Amino acid sequence: MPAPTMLPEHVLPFGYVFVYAAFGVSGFLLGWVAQRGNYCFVNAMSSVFTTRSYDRFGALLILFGSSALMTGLLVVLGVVPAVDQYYDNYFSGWYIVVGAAIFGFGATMAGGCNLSMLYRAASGYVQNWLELVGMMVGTYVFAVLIWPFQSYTMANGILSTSLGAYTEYLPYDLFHSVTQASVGIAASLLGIPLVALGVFLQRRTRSKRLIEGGLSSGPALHVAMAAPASAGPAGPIPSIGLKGTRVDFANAKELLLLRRPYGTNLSTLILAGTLLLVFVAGAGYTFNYLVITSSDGGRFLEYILMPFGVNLSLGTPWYNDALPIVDPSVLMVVMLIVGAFLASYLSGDFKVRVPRQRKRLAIGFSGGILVGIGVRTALGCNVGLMWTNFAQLGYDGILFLLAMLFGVWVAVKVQRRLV
Amino acid sequence: MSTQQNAQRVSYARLAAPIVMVLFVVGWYQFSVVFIQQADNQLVASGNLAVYVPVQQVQGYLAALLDATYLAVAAGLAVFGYYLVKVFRIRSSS
Repeated sequence: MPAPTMLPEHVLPFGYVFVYAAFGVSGFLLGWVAQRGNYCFVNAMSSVFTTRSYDRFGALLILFGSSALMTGLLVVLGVVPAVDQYYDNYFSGWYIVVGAAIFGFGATMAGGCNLSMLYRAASGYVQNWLELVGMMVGTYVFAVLIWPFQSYTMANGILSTSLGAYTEYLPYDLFHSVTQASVGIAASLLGIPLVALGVFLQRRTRSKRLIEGGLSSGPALHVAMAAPASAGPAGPIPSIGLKGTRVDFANAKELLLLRRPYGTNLSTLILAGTLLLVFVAGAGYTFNYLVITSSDGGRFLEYILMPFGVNLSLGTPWYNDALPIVDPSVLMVVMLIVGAFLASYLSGDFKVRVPRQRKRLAIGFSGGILVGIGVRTALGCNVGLMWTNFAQLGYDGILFLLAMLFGVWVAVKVQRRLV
Repeated sequence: MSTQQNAQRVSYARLAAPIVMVLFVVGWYQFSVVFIQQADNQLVASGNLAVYVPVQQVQGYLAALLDATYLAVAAGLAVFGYYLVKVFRIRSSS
């Protein structure tokens, strides 16, 4: 059987201006929705270990599962060629496990994953400004000290795969062929259990809350069921917050006027939509998934140094062989910051916040360094590798998720000792 | 409402924030026009094509960024104007 093609195909014929614009729109929505929904991968995971709440973690699993199902469906329907789904699949190896664990630990200590760091920084959280600076320093440390060794192991297949692309694509790994049937079955095998587990965990958490809160009957039950996941006690049935008729219009108006935060599952739905937008718009042109850290941790430092006559891409490891000088994720991250700022400003959340405990600033900075080292070692962050890889129908996302959970668990233990 | 209470409601950081955003996006565009193109040319001159980005892509980036900059500046100035009027109202009623 011939090997699957490695020639990407354009889905839309509008050229690079459209591709960059689509990434910009996607970034704006990502920042806006994540800010309004207070969407944080690290908080979702740490709440599993601190408050035993699986509500937000369940939403993450729904996000991963629905992304896999929807991208898989687009390939099955022939809207997007399979090659555009697997073309950019990364290598897999020791570095994903080690990097994700370091990232999970550092992000929990610093107080935000790569997504929440940016929208909180744009909302005025000084600790997250320092986390961002620390991440740039961490990326440089990785580039000089770790990347030469890591790239050697990758090139020689030491605890690492060495091909990527379709060899990391579950339809090919499971069925040794890339057909619409194999993609559909693989997407279902990956996506449906994740969505089912996510819904189950959310229902379990909400039922537990109801029992603990004594909300077993009467009007309180209806109030709890109507509430979004992020607004305190919630009902047993996860919803996106737009069910019903009269209540829906009132809810929608409150959400549009920024008087209420978005519910977790509504945010999940919109975030999955942003991924689909770039998946279609960027197909055949560029890495058609969401990416954050290549820009904010890598290119931003490179850009800051350019006016001083320093060009890292000319001689520094990693910067000179792994990081294109610009790509659509740059515009995506810039617009993410703009979107998050406008959402926080218009909703009245914006405020420059300096932590009362000054040591939080130092923890934010040092946590940021670990985040920078971790995400680069893992070849991506919670968005650009973990979430993206589920949509790519790969298996690196599963490795990243488990290792990150371990890192978060260790950080929670350490934080308990520090407090 | 007392003057002290009114003074507490006016946040100059909040007033300045949209202008900071406008300066950020305008500065980013100017930076991209000058330095990113220059750095890309340096990559060609030094023969490093691994991270070089074709001119067509850079032009696409700059065109999309220009549109995004116009939108962000318009939004930033609108919210700045809104809050400025609010500040004047608060101060005149005190």
